Amino acid sequence: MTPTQQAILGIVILLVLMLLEMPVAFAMFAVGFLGLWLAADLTVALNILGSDIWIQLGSYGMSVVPLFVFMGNIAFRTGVTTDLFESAFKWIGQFRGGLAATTVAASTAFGAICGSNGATTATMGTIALPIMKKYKYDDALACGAVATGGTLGVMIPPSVVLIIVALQTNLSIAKLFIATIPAGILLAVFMIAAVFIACARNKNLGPAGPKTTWLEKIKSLGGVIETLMLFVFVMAGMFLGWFTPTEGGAFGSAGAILIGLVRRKLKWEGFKRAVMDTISTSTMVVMLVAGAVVLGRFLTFTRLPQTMADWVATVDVPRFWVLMLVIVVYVVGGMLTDALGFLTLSVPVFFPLIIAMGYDPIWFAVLVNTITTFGAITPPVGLCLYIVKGLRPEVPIQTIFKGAVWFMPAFAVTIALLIAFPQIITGIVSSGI
Amino acid sequence: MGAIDRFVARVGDWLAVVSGTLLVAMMTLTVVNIILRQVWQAFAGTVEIVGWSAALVAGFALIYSQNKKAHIAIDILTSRINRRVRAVIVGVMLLADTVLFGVAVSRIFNLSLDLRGRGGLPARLSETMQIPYWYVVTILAILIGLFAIKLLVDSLMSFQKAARKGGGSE
Repeated sequence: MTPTQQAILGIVILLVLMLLEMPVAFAMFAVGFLGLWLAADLTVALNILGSDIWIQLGSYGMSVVPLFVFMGNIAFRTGVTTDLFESAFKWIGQFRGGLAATTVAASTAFGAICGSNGATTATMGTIALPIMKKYKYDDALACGAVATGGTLGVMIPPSVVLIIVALQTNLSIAKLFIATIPAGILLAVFMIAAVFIACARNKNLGPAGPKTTWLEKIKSLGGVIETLMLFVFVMAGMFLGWFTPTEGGAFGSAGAILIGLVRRKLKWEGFKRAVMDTISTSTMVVMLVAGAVVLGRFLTFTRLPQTMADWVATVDVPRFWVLMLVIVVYVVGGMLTDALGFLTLSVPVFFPLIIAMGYDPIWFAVLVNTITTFGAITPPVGLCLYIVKGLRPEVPIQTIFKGAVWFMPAFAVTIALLIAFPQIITGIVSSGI
Repeated sequence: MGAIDRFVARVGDWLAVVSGTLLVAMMTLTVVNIILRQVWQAFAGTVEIVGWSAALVAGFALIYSQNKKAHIAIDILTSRINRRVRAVIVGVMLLADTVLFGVAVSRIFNLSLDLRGRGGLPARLSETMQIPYWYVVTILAILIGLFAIKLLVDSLMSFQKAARKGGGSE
């Protein structure tokens, strides 16, 4: 069996194990270990399994994961979302569809301190769904806005998914965070546009809320200013080299705790739950990365990524079409599995290929993050859709999905713009902002 | 089997408390180091201590995260099949995971012995603080060993579920 055949067999077995409900991280460990045994020998496989688990778990770089997850969980438990929502409502709530747009805007702001789409959807849904019900918003629009708005949790930095991609590919976490900001903002703007377009076409979808004065609008910012300052300070600190990403995560967590204590919104019970949620999530993430590293060693041993890159160099197909093919794989993969899981297992395969084709690695990382995030609002996995279903059990899942469909053009336009104008991403990094 | 499962879950909860404490300590140390760096001088061992703490945060939380079903798994296929068959499949997968992590434990423990110094060799020291760190690796090996036991118990529970009467399609 040639090394390439071994790699393909390994990927097939990986998919089978995943379909048989083996956790993605453990499936990657298993295939990586067995693959190395087959491709090299048992001693190599055993040594890599043992040393990689220790190296990954014990690396300083990996400590960034629990700290940023902690920052998001503290923010989640301090009820900062209510302030963000109320502030956004004061600014755009008086327009038709304003509450749904408010939900997206508040999700964008919450995404700035929380790196998870699930947490953003759950938090925002708890606040926004009852209010939208009170104002007689259409169920599909309300649920769709919460579910799709939740995806901004990973589109606006800090994002756990981007941290993992950066760790896997040796890209700068700070640069990747900064680079994804335009993509996240574009997506948020298009989502808000989708709300207003839908409400302009059907006036019953989202009635306008009460009007507010400029004084009320400005006063409302008082409740969110510290949180947004914390975000700006953490991002700027990392990008300008004041501190490492790990220090940024620690500073952000401590800052979120301090804000919660000063505003008397962080209780002992909330703190405990934030800690427990953090260790659970970050352990899952760290194991995923360690599994992906072992799998990556096997794929590197078989030279599959290099073989693919060499093949692309020889075939007479424009690199754009190869990129399109890779994008289709990410769209399908993002729909069928969790974004984080799919990215960790696919990055070792596709990243070298993309680099070999001459594409910018940071641009590609942001692009695939956007694409796989889209999977959170599509069946059959659709994490954000199911979270909304959990919050509004009486609304049929088809209605929630229908609501999400209204926002899909926002994703399509954003992805198309990122492909057509890579400068949106590369420009901000090279400008050194 | 139920009693063993409850005991292992309780052990997981205790270990999770240690993990959470380490997380808060890790955050505090990092922030204190940032402040010290500004006002006086940085504590040189921070990077090493934070790295080891991160490993132990994950290690101590392994059983807890398994209890919380935190690990991403895909049930598109298995959720559509007979409940008993699903329980058997899940049991087999968990058993495979047990073997895998059992192997990992032996290798990490072996690594800790190397770091401790074998055959007359001295213990390997950390780069900055110049202190031995084999004990961190040993603790991690023990924690992964406990996790493997948790996986085995989960596997047996799944087989027990399959053997129970009343299984059917979901």
